[in-house]
Amino acid sequence: MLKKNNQPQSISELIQKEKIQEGQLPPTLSYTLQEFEDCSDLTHRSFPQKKVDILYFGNLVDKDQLERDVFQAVIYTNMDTQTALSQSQFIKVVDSKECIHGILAGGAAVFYEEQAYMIEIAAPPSRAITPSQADPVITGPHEGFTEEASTNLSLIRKRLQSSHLKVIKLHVGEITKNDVYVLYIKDIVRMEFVEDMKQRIMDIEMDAVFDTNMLLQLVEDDVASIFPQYLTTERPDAIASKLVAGKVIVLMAGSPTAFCAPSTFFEFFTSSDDYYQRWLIGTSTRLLRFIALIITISFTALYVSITTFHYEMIPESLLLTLSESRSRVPFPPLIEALLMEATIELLREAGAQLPTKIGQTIGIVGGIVIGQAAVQAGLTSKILIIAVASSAIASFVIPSYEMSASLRVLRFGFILIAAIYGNLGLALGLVAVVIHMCGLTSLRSSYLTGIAPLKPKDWKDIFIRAPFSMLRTRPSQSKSTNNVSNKMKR
Amino acid sequence: MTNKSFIIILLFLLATLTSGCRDQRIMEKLGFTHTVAYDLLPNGKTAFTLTLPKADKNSEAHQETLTAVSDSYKDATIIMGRQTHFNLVNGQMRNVLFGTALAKQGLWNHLNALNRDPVVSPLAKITIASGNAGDILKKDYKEHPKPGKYIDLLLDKQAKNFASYRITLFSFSRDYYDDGIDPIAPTIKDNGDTLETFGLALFQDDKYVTKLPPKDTILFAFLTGTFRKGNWNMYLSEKLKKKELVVLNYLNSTKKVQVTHDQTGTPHILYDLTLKGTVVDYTGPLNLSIDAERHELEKKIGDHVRAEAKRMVAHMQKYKADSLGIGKHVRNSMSYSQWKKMNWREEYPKVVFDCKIKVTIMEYGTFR
Amino acid sequence: MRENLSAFHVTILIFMIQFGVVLFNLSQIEAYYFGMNGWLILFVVFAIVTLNILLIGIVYRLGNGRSIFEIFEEALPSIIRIPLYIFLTSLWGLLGSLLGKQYVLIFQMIAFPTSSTMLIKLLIDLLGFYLVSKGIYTISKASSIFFWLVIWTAILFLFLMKEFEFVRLTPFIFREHKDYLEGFFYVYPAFLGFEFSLLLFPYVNKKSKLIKSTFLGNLLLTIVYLIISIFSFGFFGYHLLKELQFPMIELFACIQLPFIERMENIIYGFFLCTTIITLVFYFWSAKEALSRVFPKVKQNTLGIMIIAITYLISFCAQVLNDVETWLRYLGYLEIGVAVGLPLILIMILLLQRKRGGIIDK
Repeated sequence: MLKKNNQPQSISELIQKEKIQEGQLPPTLSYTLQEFEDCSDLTHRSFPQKKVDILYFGNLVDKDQLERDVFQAVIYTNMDTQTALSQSQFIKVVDSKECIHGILAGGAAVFYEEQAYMIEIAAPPSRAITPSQADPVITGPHEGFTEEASTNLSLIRKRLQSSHLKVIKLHVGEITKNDVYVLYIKDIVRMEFVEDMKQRIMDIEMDAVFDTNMLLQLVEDDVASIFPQYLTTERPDAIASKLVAGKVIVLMAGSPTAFCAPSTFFEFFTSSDDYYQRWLIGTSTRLLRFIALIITISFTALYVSITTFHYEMIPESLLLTLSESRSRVPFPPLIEALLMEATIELLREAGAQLPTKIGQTIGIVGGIVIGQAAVQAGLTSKILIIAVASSAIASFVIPSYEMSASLRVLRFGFILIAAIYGNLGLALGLVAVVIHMCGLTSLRSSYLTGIAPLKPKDWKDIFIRAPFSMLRTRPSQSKSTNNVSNKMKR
Repeated sequence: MTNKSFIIILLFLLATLTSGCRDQRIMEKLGFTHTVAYDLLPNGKTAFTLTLPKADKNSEAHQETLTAVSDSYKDATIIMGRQTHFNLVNGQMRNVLFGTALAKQGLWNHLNALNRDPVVSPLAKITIASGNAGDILKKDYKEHPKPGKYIDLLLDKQAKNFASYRITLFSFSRDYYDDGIDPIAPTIKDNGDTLETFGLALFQDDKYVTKLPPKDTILFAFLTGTFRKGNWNMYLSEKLKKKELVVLNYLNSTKKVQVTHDQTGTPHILYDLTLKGTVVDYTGPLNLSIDAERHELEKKIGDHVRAEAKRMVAHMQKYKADSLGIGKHVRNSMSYSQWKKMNWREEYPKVVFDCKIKVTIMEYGTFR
Repeated sequence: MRENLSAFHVTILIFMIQFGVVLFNLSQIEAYYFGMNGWLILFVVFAIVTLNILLIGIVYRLGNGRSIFEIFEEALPSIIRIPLYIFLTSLWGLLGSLLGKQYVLIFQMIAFPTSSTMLIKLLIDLLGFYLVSKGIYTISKASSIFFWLVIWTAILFLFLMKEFEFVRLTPFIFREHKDYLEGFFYVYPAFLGFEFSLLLFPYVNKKSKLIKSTFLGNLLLTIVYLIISIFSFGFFGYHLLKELQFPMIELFACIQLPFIERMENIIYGFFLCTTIITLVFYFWSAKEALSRVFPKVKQNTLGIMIIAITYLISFCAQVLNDVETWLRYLGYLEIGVAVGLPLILIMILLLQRKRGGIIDK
């Protein structure tokens, strides 16, 4: 990685230096060609009879548009070139840097005599809008973001036809110069959040930032925390709803993911589906996810704690099954549990790495063959298999991949401490996690807003999904200046 | 910020990892004491028998039985520990059986030791075995689960139907300490091939003094006001020619107790009871579909229960065992100094007991 | 963005500081020292605590919400001030440390009897330091979460309702009591913690309604204590209750659910939440006082120092009875502080007003 401070020879530095030395350099063909030396993908069309030179990257521009708007309009026309170039699609450039940037962004530069004109005809390769793989829903829109920022912005604009939706464009990456868009709705969002986010993005001094998920790690409050602090999504409708909730959205060119800030811990347990289903269904799914949270963290740890220390806690009939099943296992419960947990994690990772079709086979092989065989071979007890499997399944119920991955890591911590201090260990772990979460902030607002600081009003949209007639205000974390979101009389 | 959390995490890890695992009780290495039997030996020592259920796949309820003779249970476990490859633990103790001989001598020393041990569940059941308790545990009731489990299941089921009582270490101790009530405990009897719940053992403090026969347990439950459901059969008339049997089911009862004192200061106790139930069986001359005759039966039942109750209380009074907790009500009706002046144990047999019972027959079956 | 503690958070914070392991033997103390229906003493203590809170309210009113340390610094020469601060620091630090130790020792009665007490205590102290280092806002946030983590256990009592009998309460009041005064000094420390609202002055504004919230926190505590005490008396009966060391543990041990039983150790684990808030607040207060003596030393360094030194001192109290004896004597001192500190402050403020009133106008 090139670091600005250590290596003064970095490209951006050089460019800046030139700018300072020479000020605005008038765009000339020769200078531009010199800049693009050895760029074999650059197309240079020369028309000496018209004294016109056209420069563009053949694979970045739209061929049809190039033909129609440039060649037809300037070259194969009877118009005098100067008049032709005064058509509105041509923008006169005065700075060579601007010219170079334009060509890189997929424009064509037209050089006529001493003047240069840019035309915006970019059609970079992009994929079609497809349903999001990362957060699918059953009901509701299936569009997902693509890697193309303009598409993504259009998907959001389509849903939020309001002039209050503002988009700030920033750049990150000293070399990559990726576009980053900060979106917010004026008069709903609290401007401190926007300013803070803008400042944090502008403060990034890294050569390359490739993805929103990378970007958000650079603007987090606490890097050491195990919890993700910003909610990411690939769904334009989710983003639209977050905007209306008074949050700041960050999009990045080249990434299909957007993140919203600030976020609370509880937001990671919500999904757009909750709002598209009827409220009773939405509520039960949401409660189910919180149960899943408890199961994910505690099941295996409780198993370890009970089998290692607290045999008296389970009813007699269960105890006999458990100790019978344990009696053939040669390891202490901790090793047994870690072994199974590691196996599950291996299976999960293998499934994630492989193409879907093979991934399914892995699931079957792992789930049935290893599970069955491990019990029969006396490597684990049946109850543990159930505990591990249910906590793994529970972890997949949590809609946010980042949160579910964090919780799975956290679970190992709980298993370890349960093996050392049993239930006391679990209590210690719980207290430690709560203390950590209480200190955690997302864009300098409390991560646990809703419970601490306590906002009972928010509970209608945290633990349950109350009917819309009751969801009248924006989440209190947004500290919105315009708090009422629903004025229906009912 | 980050440094600080790292240091904390590091210290945390150090502190946890350096700690030994001395207190581990890994499940498969443990022998869970399930039932303990205490018997008095002629030489004054106590014989302890305990059963450990064994987790064996092949036999559903296998158990290991250990015995030792000693003065205290804790000492006995050390002796018994020498006989098994399991670590004996008491956290899953379900049942404590006492032989009659020991129960007559008083249980408190043993119970106190169990109470003191924080590992023993306060919900371990206390049961009196008629005869020798250890022998019951050592036997094999062929068609039934192993004795430890058998007793446990039997008592639980019987207690649910109020055919017996679920007396736990905790409730026994509570009634032992309370000055207005004496503890009770269910009794079981060995019938050769089966075990049988055999009424209630009544205590005077911690000493077994007498017992109630099995047929009185429901009446007893009725008088304590805890009765909810179960079958209650009563012979309203036992004359050979016209035996009149009525069986009530699904009962619902309420209780109010009134205490008055006459001039001499002797307390008069009036139990005001209601009983609602369904007649499931009736062999007698009355036609239940006729209101008047049904009411007559209701009255008959009431009179019968009243007579039985008075008989039962008289029996308890004779043995000076205040198992119903009449003392609690008497105490609450008096001033503290009066109560302290009164020697309840001596006063109890003089108490005049009566009850008023209102019986309602809710249903009498699908046949008119 | 400087947050102020909201009224609700002050209420919960005060409640959580007051609430602690003393709950586990409170009803036994009531039964032992006050005899039958000893829970009635809670009303008396509640009234006295309310008066004590009123004293603090007067300080708040007279001082216009200035920090008590500022008031001291204006009025007292450093030769009086510094020993006072050192005294407060060591008192609070030791109380915090020993409360942690008491928690561990009680836990070791139920489980882990042979593990090293001090190692477990080290873990708790580390967590305590972690929370102290995050400052008062995080402490208050944590306390409100811990509140929910603890208060749900009340639901479990419903499973024991059928064993409860009013008849067992007896109509006698305070019969068979022991020394009232001694008993009072046992019960009063169960309420200690409200006096820390003195230290919250700089962190609240008008909207926090500090005194009202403190009162409400104390009211909530009294209600919880009352429920638990009445329940214990009706569940165990006076005579048995007197004999039990930790009635609450016994209560929880009597809960039997179809899938889990003997919940006392898991529930007791949850009570770590209230203990940690109590001890953290003692540590935090100690740190606040000490930072007035050494204003240039970093807050975290002071925190570590207090926790480390008191940790070492707590080695001296080996067994539960020792710890309880120490806690009792420190409790007496703390009662003195709870009453004395506001009185001194009121005196100082009145004197200042007398003098200052002439200068101002």
